[in-house]
Amino acid sequence: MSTRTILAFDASTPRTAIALGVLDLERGEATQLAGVDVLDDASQASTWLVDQIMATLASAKIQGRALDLIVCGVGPGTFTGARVAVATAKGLALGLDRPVLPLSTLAAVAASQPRRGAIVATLDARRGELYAARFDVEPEPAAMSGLHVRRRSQDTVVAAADLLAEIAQLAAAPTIVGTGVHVIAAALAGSQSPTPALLPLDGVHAAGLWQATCDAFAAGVSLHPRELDAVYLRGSYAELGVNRPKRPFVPSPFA
Amino acid sequence: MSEVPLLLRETSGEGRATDRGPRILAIESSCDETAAAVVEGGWVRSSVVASQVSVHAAFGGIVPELASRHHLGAIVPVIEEALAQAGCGALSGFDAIAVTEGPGLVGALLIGVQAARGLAAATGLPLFGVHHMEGHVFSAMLGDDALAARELEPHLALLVSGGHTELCEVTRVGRYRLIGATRDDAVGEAFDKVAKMIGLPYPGGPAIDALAAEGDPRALSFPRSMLGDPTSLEFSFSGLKTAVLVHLETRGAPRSRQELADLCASFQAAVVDVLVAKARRARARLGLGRVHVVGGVSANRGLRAAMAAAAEEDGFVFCAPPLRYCGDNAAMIGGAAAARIVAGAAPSVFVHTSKAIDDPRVLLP
Repeated sequence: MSTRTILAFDASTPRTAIALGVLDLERGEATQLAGVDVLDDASQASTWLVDQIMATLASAKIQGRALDLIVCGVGPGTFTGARVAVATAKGLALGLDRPVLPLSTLAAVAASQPRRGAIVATLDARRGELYAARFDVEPEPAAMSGLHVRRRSQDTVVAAADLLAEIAQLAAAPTIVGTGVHVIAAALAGSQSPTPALLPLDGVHAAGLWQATCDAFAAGVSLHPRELDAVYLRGSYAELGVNRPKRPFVPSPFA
Repeated sequence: MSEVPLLLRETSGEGRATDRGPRILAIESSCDETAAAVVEGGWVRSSVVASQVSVHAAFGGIVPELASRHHLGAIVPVIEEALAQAGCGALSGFDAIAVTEGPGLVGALLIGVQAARGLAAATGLPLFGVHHMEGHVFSAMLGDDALAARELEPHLALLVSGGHTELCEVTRVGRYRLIGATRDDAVGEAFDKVAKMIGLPYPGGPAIDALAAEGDPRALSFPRSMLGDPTSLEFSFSGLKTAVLVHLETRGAPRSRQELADLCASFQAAVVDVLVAKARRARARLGLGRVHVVGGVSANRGLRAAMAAAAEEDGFVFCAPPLRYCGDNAAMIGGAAAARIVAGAAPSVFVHTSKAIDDPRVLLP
């Protein structure tokens, strides 16, 4: 069989996205059948994600068992959002006996914005930091979707000032996109440094998710759902020692 | 309405799922245990629990973010293991999926709930959300073979865990009435916090219980809170916790194992005295013939012994789950869901962090 019917979703940004499409491997063609994205400021994606997935499948007259693969945005992004998507993907894939493919949320952000060329996809990581990765977004006729998001650096968590310093070393100034843009703007406030091109984006959009899914399929290796995990890039506050107990624990020598 | 049997004892023929009660895959992830089980009515076909105790022990208590992370890694393996142990290759032949919908840590709950929602959507099986404490009520009904499961009878439930200390009148499935609860700390929380004060590892309940067996419960005099008012069915453990702290500040940390054991025994006696006294008081007031002690603290040997003695003296039936079903597990969630299905409950899931067991969303008409 030369076609793959693929469901993708991501809930790691303020905008939760779902995309459904078919890849024709013989012809090298990608067709998005359906997609939806919802700006969810209340972070309530868990309450409607599965219903919306089923509605998306129904709108394209695709049965769940017709799916060949489930692609899941795994972060980095909001911890709870990433886990909501990953847990949902695990349940769906286990119930359908299908593999899963992890997708970087930052790659989906890069594919969700309209500009071509050098891009830094960012998401607000709080505490003055960003999740960030560099990409080149290029038209490429050979790619199934006619576009290619080429990764230029690994996903990382970085302070705004450090990211700006890294960008200043690049030969060509990239456009910074995503929810991390306001963190960059705050870091630049009052600074004499040249302001890079900034493009606010509220998260992953359905078309960008499908685009990133095509790239991930071409490059990725599918997993059993038990192996799928969220990408955090940062330890919990407890592990980082941010929240220390009021009284230190002193083990009893008699226990 | 008469009580609804949890176990339908028509086990002729090949024993189809409907002979014994609904066959359910149940999932629990409300706190620090990731669990899955396969039940048929109250018959536990498998029960798998992945504990995170070692993860949280280093921090002296549960770290919600770490709990969520570990639930995500464990959820598929525990489901697969539960299905395998029950001899089920897949979810064919099942009647429903059940999942703990609350109360609990919201990030932890969401892992089980989203996995269950995905499974239900993929298989077309109905999904039933179960109140965690209703699950504990049904933990005393479970059996490891078809005939060992018990039918639910009207009783007083003493719900004792890390998050709850409640007295609940259980009339039948879906008919619960809270008649007393703690005003501050839950009893399990008091155990954990006192254990931390005296240098015992997390979780504190089992450590204190074990040491209490070596100590003298009359060695130290700790307060029995809220026993003075003969009408009160409420609890308070923060004062007892403070009393232990004051004792440590004035007398210093225990200087020998015997002193440590005496402190544990004295603290535990103060807790148990209050729990048993209030349970006896409530049972007598309601005129019920049974008292069930459920929840993680029901594993406490001192509490079990004192409640058994009270039952003999007052002439009521005392029941507590097997130790393997005292802590959080998915079998109890499946058992409760099975009873709700037989009673005609509609499938629904409503994730919440603090709804009481007698909230209208939990009750059945």
